[in-house]
Amino acid sequence: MFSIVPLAPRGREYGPTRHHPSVQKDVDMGLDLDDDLDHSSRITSPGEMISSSSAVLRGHGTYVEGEGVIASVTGVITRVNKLVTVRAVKSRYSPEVGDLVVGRIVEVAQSRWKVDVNGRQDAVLHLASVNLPGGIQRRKLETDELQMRNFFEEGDLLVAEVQAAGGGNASLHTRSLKFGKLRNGQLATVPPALVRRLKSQFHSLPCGVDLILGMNGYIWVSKHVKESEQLGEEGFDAEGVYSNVNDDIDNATRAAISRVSNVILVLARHHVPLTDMILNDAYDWVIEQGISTADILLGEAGESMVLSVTAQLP
Amino acid sequence: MSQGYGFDRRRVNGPEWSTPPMYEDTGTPKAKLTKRVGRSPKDIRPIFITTGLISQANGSAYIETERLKIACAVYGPRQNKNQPYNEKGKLNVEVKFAPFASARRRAPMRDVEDRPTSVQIHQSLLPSLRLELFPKSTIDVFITILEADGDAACVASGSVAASAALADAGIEMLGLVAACSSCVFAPISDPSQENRMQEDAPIDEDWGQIWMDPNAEESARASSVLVMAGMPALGTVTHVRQTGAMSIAQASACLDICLQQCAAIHTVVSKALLDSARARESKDSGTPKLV
Repeated sequence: MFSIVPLAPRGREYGPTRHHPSVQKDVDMGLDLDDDLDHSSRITSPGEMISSSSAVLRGHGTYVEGEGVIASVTGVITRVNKLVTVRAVKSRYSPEVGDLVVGRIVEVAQSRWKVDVNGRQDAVLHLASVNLPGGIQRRKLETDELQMRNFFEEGDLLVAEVQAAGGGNASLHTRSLKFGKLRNGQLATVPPALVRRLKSQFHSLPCGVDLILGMNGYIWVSKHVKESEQLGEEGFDAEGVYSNVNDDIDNATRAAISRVSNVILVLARHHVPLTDMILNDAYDWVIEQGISTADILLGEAGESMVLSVTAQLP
Repeated sequence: MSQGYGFDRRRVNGPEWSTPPMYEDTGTPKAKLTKRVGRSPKDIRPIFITTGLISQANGSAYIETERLKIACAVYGPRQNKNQPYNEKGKLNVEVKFAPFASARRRAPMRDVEDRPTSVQIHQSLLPSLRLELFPKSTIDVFITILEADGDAACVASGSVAASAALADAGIEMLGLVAACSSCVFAPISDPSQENRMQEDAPIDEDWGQIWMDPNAEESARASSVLVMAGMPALGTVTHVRQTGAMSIAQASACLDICLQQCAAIHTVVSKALLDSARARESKDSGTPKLV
C-alpha cells in the first residue's frame, strides 16, 4: 500500500540579520538557530520548514503546522530577535499609514470614491477627505455630494496619502496642496517592492520632469511645475486642481517625459530599486550615449544602461 | 405520416426510423502504440518550468513537458465585483485551449473540454491556498493550453503551472502543488498474470505494468487513467481522479508511483521559484542612498 510522508526539511538556513552590538547578546541568547547559518541560501519557497515553533515567533509569510514554522510564500527569510518573517519577493501593495500612493478612480459611490491602488482591495477616498473648492476649511454640503464627478471621475489619476489602513483596506486623503488630480504626464507601473521610502516621494529631475514615486508602484512622470505656480491665490485654486485639461507641453518636455518613463520601465524590468538619483544617472547616460527614446526599451541598450547605473551603486 | 409530438411541417423532416451503420470486423489486430523514446514506462516527461513571463500579471508561469505547453497567469488577490460579502477569498480557475492546441481545431468559446479541466485544477489548488486571509477578494487564475498532449497530462501540468504562478504572485499558500498522471492498459487483479501477452495488446512489452505521464495516444488507448495532485512538502494529497477500469492493486501502485514523482516535480518547481527569487534579490540588495 502507498504511504504519504512529507519531504525532509532542507535544514535551518537563515539570512544574516545584523543587530546593534548592545543587543546582539540578547538576540543570540538561548537560540541555537544561528549555529548552522548558510548565507548562500536565505530564500525559501512555500511549504518549506523554517524552524521549530517553540524557538521562534511566526511572522508574516509563515504558518505553524504541528511542531514547525513553515513558509507560505516565496521570499527572503528575515529575523528580528525571535520573530521570523518571510518577505515575498513579489506581491501586491499592502498599504501603510502615511504612504504616498498614486491611484486611479474606478468607481464613484455614495459620498466616496473607490480608487485602484494596486492593493488587494480598492482604496476608499471619502468626500470629506478631499479639498473642496471655495476654501480649504469648509463643511461638505449635499450639493457637493451631487457633483462629485466634477472633482474626480472614473479613470482619473490622483496622488494621495494613506490615512488609515488595515487588513488590505486603505482610506486615502488629498487634504494637501501637493495631492490631488494628476495631469500633464504619463503613468509608469512597476512592482511595489522597487519603490523605497525616501525623504520625499516628490522629485523634480533636472531635465524638466517631475516625478511622483507612489509607494504602490505607480509612478507619475509629468511636466515640471514651478513652486510659485503650484500654489494659486489663497493657496487653493479649485479650477486648477480639478481641471481635466493639460497645459501646453513643448516637444522637448514631451520627449523627456517619455524618455524618463522608458528608463523607469527598463530599470524595473531588471529589478533595480528606484530612486531619483538612479533615474537621473540613467537619464544622463541615455543622453550621453545618444540612444533614442524607443531604443531604450529594446534589448542591448537597456541592459548596458542598467549595468552602468548599478555599477555606480555603493 | 404521423402527426405526433415534435413534428414540424415547416422543416424537412428525417425518416421515421433509422439503423446505426454496421462495421465488419476485419480481424486484424489493433495497431501498436508508438514506442516511447528516451524514457521507460515509469518515467515522466522532462519538465521545463519558468516564472514571471507575463509582465502585466501579478504572477505567471510557463511549463513545457515535451509536446505539452501551458502558460498560466494569476491576477489578484483583487476586490471582487458585484458579489456579496464573503469572509473567505474566492479562487477562479479558467482554462482555455488555444485554437491550435490539438490536431483538431478548438473553436474558442464552444469547446467543452475546458470546463472539466478547470474544475479539476481548481480542486487540486484549493486546499493549498489560505483563502481565509483574503476576505472580499478574488484570485483569478487563467490557464492557456498552447499545445495539448493528453487530457490527464493537461490537468497535472496545469495544476503545477498554476501553483507556481500563485507562488510567483506572492500569494500565501500552505505548500506548492505538484501533480502527475498515470495509466494502465488492462485491469489486472492477479499479479501473476502481469506478464501475460494478449492478442490485441496495444504495446509489445510491459503492457501489464503502470505507465506514468501518458501522452495523448497512450491515454486514449489506456483502459484507465489516474491523476493525482498533492503537496509533497507537507505530505498531503489534494486531488485524485481515476477514470476507466483499474484493479485496486493497480490503483494503489499508481498512487505510490505518483507520490514519488510528485516529490521529484516539487523539487523542479521549487528550484525554478528560488532561482527567479534569487535573481530579483541580487539586484535589490544594494540599499540606495537617501537623497
